[in-house]
Amino acid sequence: MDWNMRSASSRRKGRPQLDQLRAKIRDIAPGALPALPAPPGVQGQASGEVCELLDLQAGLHEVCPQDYLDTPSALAVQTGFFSQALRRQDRACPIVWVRRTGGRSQDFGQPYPLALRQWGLAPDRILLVEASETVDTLWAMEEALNAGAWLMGEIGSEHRYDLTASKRLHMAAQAHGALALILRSHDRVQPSAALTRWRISARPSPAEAWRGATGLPGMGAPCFRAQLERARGGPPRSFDIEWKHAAFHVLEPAPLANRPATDLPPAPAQRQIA
Amino acid sequence: MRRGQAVADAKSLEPGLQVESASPALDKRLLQALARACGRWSPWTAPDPGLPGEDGIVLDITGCARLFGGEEKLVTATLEAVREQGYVVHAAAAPTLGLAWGLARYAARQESSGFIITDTVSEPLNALPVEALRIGPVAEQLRRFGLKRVGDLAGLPRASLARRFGRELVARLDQARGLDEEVLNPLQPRTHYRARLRFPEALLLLDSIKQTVRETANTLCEQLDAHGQGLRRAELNLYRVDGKVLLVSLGTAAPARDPAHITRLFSEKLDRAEIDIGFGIDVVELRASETAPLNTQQSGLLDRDDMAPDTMARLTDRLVVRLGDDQVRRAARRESHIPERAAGWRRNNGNGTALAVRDSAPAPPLVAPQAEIDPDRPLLILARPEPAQAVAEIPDGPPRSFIWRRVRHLVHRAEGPERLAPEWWRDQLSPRSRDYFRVETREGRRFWLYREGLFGLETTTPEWFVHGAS
Repeated sequence: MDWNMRSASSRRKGRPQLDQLRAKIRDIAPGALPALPAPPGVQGQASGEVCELLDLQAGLHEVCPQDYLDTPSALAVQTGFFSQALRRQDRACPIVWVRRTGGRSQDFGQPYPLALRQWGLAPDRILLVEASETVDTLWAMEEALNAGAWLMGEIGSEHRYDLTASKRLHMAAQAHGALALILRSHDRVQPSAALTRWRISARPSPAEAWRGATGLPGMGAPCFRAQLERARGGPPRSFDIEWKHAAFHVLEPAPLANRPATDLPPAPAQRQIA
Repeated sequence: MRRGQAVADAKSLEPGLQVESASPALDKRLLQALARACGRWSPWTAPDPGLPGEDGIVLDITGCARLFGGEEKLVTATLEAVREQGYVVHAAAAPTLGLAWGLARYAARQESSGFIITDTVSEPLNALPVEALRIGPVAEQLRRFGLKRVGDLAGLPRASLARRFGRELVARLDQARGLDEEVLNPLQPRTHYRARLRFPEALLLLDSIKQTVRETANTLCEQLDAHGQGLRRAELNLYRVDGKVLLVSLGTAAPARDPAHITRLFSEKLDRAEIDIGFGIDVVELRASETAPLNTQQSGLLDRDDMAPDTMARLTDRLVVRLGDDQVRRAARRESHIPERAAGWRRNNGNGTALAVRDSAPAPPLVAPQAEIDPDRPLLILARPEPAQAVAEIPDGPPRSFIWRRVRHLVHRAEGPERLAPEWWRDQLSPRSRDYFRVETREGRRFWLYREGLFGLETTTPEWFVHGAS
């Protein structure tokens, strides 16, 4: 009874304790809390705002595939995000790509140096590191960030990649103004200290009839559905993006033009927001 | 055939003649190696490069002769050893360097034994031709004046000789006569960089061993610093009390001279090596088995690379020490059009910098930038193509659906075929052409498939393989 009374009174007064706590957290970690609480689940934002979202800031970011088979697509989006952020940089910094032997994306093979250039990464700047243990993977990631390199990472298994480990990576990345972009697995995603987490699934690309093989249309620019599952200081969102001219562009919803074929499967159900 | 003959003339005389271009640098290195080998007769040796075919080696045998039973025996042994290698040699031993030089080149040829040993200076010197004075073109001028022997110069006044033929002639004459001193600049002995600590009480703890590694690394780096060298490969020898030697070795991506870095690498290695200390270790020795010149580097003003080059090299070292040599790799490409051969990841060979950012940059593109000729390839490629069951409308058409890893994919978009013929110049079992297709499934996932074997020409039942994704 007493507790109810107090909570009611604090609500009336605008919850001063909560405000105090918020102020304290802001002192400890500036930028950790949203300045303005935005209404969740807003669709149809201005395109410029979304483009800002696609430019990842220095720190730790995560990319997860929607499904196991979406892992290559998620890796492609990870590479695209990375090269986009690299291009904003006016200096040329080395890249360390840490993978775990036997990780999920290893099922689909090794990164192919000749293709990396198409995704905007210079292969000769990349140091590919493979470790068999998750501990070693995390250690290598942190060493790379502390040496001032940018990090492309893959977390094979989720255990040991917890709040502490991700916070360490985030702090190391922020201290050097570097981008750490990590690919996680599609299931059992635990909370982490990343700035954003994107869930990626492949989308059919527009057909280009004149490029196709016999009897089938050709492929347009690769398209993805990117769900911003978690963003520090912002609401979760979802939109379709395409990789064109070495950059990601947001596909505006156009219900009439570019209509999907009738035999398309229903769009994947929106996940519960973590 | 003679020296100075034109190649064309020599070839007309001997049609089967093999022509090799001269490489003075290699000759010099060979001569240096030979001079070093002569160090067994005297510690004071030096190569003396002359004209082609006239190279020499100078040995100061002062005080060495009695070790070999006299000068004659020493010179005979030296000549025999060098002749065994297939060289034609003559030798002379004389009180002055200049006299020995001239005797070996002009007088020793006439001797049946091939060498001359003399204790006097003026008499053999006067008999030598003027070329034996190491004066080069001046000898020709002297000959024009009728001065053919060194003895002819003996009576002439020094001042007019110097005025007419230059001071060098007089200086060389004095050196040959022993009136002026001449110092031989000998080869420096190869230095071995090593630091060693010996303990009366054996070390039993890993931590104390690491501490000694730090101290030995300090000493070693001082030695390296004095010679402007950096460490490429280091060996740590731990001598156990019972006589066994434990060896821990490591290499660095770039020449290193920082004791803290070396200590850190070794302590990481010692943690993982699981060495058996046994009853203790009483001698710790750190050796630089491979070194390379390391100069203090100056960073450029307009350097786009914001990071010091050795930061990356150190990162590579630490990663290699902990994860293993094969786990840290860089992109590499090869002249091939077979996709799995054309590009891949190669272990870090450590040619200076960890990332070949600077070394790879300068080569200008001949035809077009590399990005434009790069073929369209998937982001991920399987090390070994995996078989798939595919359905195609026509035998050489794109697949309409395929089953890969027990999952069925419906193909909605496809591009191809890109036909890659096998490399017939390589040994392969039943090489067959591949028709590559880039396909997109109904869900938008992209794969890279190929059909092995041309229908009708190479096979009637082509097989399908998945080779890449996205």
